[in-house]
Amino acid sequence: MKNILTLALMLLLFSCLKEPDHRSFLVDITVDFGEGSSAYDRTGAKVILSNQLKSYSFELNTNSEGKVRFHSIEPGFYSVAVTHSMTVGGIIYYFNGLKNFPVFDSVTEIIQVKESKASAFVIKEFYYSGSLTSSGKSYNSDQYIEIFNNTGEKQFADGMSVIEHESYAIGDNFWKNLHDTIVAKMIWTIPGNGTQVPVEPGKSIVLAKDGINHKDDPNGNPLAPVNLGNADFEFFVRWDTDKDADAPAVPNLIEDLFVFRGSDIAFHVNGGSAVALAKIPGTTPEERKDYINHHLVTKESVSGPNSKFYAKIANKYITDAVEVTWDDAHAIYKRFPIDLDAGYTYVPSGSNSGKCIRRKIKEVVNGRTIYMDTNNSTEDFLKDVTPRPWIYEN
Amino acid sequence: MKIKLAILFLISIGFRENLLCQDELPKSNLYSIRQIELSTPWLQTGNASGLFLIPDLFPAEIKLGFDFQEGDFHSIYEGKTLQNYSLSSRSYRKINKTYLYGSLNYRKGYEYGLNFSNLNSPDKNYPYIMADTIGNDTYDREFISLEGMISSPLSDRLNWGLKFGYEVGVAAQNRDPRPENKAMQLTVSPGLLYRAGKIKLGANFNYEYYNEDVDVDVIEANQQHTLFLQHGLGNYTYHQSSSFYRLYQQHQIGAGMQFDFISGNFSNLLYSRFDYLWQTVDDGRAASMANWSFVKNDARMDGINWNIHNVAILRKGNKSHLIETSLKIDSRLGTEYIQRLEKVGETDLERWVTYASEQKYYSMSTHADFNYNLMNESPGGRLNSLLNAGVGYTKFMEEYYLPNLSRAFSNLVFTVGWLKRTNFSKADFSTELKLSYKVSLEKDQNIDLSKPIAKKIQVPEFEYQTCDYFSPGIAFSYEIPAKKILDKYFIKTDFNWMQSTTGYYRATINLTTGIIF
Repeated sequence: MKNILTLALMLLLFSCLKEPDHRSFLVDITVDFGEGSSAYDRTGAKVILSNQLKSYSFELNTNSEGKVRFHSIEPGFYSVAVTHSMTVGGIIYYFNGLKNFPVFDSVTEIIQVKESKASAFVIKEFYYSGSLTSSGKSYNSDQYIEIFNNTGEKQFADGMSVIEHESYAIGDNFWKNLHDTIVAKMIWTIPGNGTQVPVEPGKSIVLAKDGINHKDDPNGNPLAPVNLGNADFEFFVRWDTDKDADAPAVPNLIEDLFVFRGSDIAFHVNGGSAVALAKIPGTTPEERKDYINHHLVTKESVSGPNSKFYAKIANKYITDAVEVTWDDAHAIYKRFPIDLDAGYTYVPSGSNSGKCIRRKIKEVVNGRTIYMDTNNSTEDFLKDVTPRPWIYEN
Repeated sequence: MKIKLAILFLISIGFRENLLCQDELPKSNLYSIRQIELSTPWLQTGNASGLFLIPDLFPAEIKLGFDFQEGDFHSIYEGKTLQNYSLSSRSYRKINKTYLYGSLNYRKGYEYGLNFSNLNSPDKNYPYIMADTIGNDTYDREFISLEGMISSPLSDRLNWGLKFGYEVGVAAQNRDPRPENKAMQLTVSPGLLYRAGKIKLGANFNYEYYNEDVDVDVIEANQQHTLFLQHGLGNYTYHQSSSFYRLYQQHQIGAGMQFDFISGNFSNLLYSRFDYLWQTVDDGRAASMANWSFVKNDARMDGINWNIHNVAILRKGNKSHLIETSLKIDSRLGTEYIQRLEKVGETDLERWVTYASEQKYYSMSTHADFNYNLMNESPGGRLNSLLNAGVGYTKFMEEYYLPNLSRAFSNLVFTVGWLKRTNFSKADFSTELKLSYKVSLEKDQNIDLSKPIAKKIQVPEFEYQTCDYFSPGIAFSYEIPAKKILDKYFIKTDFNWMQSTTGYYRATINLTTGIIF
């Protein structure tokens, strides 16, 4: 009896003194580049394994078999992103892949990558967080999207549409089973017949929520980070009454779809608005409207019988897409497919911070800035930067 | 509140009237309580049944205190300036064969220049500390604590005892994000003591409960702040919101045993205590919102505290030699929960779904002490002088797994002090000189400096823990006899200076005044 008691006491004493019983696993990733890929093609693809709960990541490059092995990975929920590029005949092809999976044992995963090409127009800056007034009120009239001509030739922006995805990424994407289209709740188009809004190489146009000098205007906010009095276009919601003030010096975008039509548009200040540029079929507003009307889908409203109609836009018409989320935790609700955007980005400082996301500079050729466009927002964008429309230097 | 406080004070000292009839007892003085604590090592054991072993001094005191600390040499979890005001009372008494002790303390305090803690006492929650990076905060605290002991004989050889403690209070910061901490600690410890000739055997059971509710608010409209939820050695998750809720709960159970041997002028008390504790850390939050509708289990900490002490006392005439040796080992095992916010059920309610729990953190602290005290008393039992010298060894190591991080250090602290009391006419004047010196023996740190919390918190804290320092101190007290039922009025001032080898300092000033009876 005495020995048993002694043993029990010793077990109790040392049971907590032992070191943690922690687990670690191997994660094997094989990147599937498709049939016909050579060893040269498969070598050197960047594979980023990210812990979604703790916001850290590991990075490795694939071997000639397109494989990588991550050692000593702690249990948790991970995403793996693959980015690769190769130049064939002077054209840069990008390959992106993305997959989420849990790691509670050793894992072997195959990641398929999809090929994409760089776009002529890219979203250079997206400022959605808004700012604070001196009295502490939220101010988001200074939101804007800047579209940049990333090529060496003059491009025409008229007919280019800006799309906001239906989901705010606070839950599963209702449309995730639609693989070849995205679903939009807002479509605004730059007016013109295709030859009226030229954008020079290395230059941009700014689409403002309200085209005023937000710093000086009586209806503005002296603490706003931008002057949008020279914006190229503004989102103007036409009402019989002046619910949305029209800046006379700034041309208006064409409202093609605005499901939750209010007094004015507003991008989600916390980062719920995933936006894209698209060239919707049709050379006139009527033809474009006709396309939209023939691609409406509905979703039952959880709050009542008033179902809303949204527009399906085929992926092939999307020229650039930026998956903006609230934060890392909400990235599991990603909406754009990987061939449009393999990653995601956001403003870590949050709403009213006066900060935005900006595309990284890839290189400067003969004074012309070329922005990074690998179709992976995680890789392509800087977070938490001060808005600087029409400025292209570092 | 004030009436309740007054009643509690009266309860804690109110039994003095009975005691005054015992004319043979010596008059109490400022050092009577310290004298009792030194000469009755049973009071250190936590077994209240040994309370009847105190010498025949039954002092009571009521005092007002003011503490002030200032300087850059401090833990990263502590403010640059501390300021505390206190009103306290304590006393020993005997009613027939029952011995009693009671104390009450009310404390109002301010902690200025605090940068990296949203917790009332971060050492209780380490490593699961919550912090924001908006610095220069002020903590405003108001706490009240009660402590009591009772010891009474069950038979000629057996005594029972009960010790209890209760502390409750509120701490609040003044700058966004501003936490309001409601903390409560309860301790209950019943015990028995058996006497047989030269031997005394004791055993006691211990239960403690600690609860800290943290409610963080952002008052400024439309503002969100980032809160870093630390997991040890610079690892953390973060939460960005305009509010946040966290609840720490800790249960601690344990037991102690005592063995006392007395032979002539020599006595030796050997005692040991073992406690097991578990602390849970729960957050009320969704992905980027804070609400107790979404309970997220952040971590759990298990630990043991084990200590063994020996106190040998040799009495020769008016002199008592006390030799204390002790060893204390505390270990902590931290577990993190892997959870994900998911919609569950037919109503699509969001809940944190647990997928696994992982043991990630481990620490062990070893502390060994050796102390010698020489107490000189007058024939009437009055403390005349006290010399003490000691050395303490501390070793601390902690580890975090995946990524594998570690930190360890050890140090030695030498202390020496001398107290001398001098009688001038009817007044007593005392001087106490103190000196301590800390030398770091070894230090090793392997952390990920690319993490902001590691750079801002872990590195400076490690430097503080491993920095050598030199600390002289001096205290003066002056006691004058009081009339009628009171024994003494006193005023005492205590000053300590810590000077680190890295050029930082910390000064501590303590002023107390009160009455003894």
